[in-house]
Amino acid sequence: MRRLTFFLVCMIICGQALSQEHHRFVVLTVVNEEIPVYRSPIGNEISYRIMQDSIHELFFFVEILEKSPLRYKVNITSTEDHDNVFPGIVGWIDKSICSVFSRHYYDENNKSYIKLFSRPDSKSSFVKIYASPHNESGEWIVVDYADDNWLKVMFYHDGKLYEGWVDRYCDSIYDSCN
Amino acid sequence: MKKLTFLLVCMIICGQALSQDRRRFVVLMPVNKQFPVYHSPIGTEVNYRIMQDSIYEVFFNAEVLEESPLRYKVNITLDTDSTGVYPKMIGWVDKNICGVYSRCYYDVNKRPYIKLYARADANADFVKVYESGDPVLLTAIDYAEGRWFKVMFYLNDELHVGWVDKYGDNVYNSYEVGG
Repeated sequence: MRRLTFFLVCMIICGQALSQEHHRFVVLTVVNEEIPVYRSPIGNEISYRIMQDSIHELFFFVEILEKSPLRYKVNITSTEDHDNVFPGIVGWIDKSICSVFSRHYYDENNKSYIKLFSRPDSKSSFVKIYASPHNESGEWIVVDYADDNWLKVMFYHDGKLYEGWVDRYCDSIYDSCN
Repeated sequence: MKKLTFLLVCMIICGQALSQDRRRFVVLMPVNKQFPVYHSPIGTEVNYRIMQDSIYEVFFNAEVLEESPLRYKVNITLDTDSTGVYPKMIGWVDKNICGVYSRCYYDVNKRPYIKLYARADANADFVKVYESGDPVLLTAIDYAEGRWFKVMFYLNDELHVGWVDKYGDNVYNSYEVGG
């Protein structure tokens, strides 16, 4: 009986751990312009054309379901659809339009900086990129992801191109998490 | 004097080896449709908009100069401009419009197949993807030293990803620009 109870508890814990799997979201960089949602990881067959509209404040939540080298498979839902009335749009979108917003670390002088890791591992080497007055918050293109909350990003900062892994970012279109 | 001569010979051999560094070309897939040549590896700033035209037979050669995760930096020249009269265009194009044509191996029954390696290494594991013999345009998503291209393609409704060392790299699939 004890063994059975132990086994059941283990199963419940494992089930909870699995159900708490990290959800990954990205922000679509394209606004007021049509975005193709493709049928497959390569090719030109378009399943849907969608548009975010800044005048009518129509934006989308984009959850990554799967990846391929050049596109993500995503589930697209409206940010206004709190009751899940509208069906989600599932398809492949180009990685080049998928982004997150920067979030900063702070040094001992309270100066904000971006921590850009060489690998998706907090013990790996990293560079500190200090925010400049004219480049306070940036939009990073998400080119890959790894376990937990690691994203591989590319972005320009003060005219220089950076590529690396980040574990702190904002994945909301409204950038409300800073 | 002998040592100096030996050193000079070594330098010449090394120089020649470096100058023979392999040039890589890809086929630009869109035809009769404009496509952008971007200013940088990410972003939307467009340097040029170009179009290949099947009616007037205007096609381009695209030599890969550099890569980033989503785009190649390419040197685009007119296919018919053998004398290099027209100015070349240098910029970044999306990898998803860059391809190479499949070139087949043949099995003992003379059936054509694409040899798709797991790594960019002739000793690596490979799968045989049988095809009809008509060339398939493979999306070129990465490259490695030597002749290797990492490709993605659909054949018989199945998505394949892997490395190839045999391919056609010009729009007519008639010769190899990269040699």
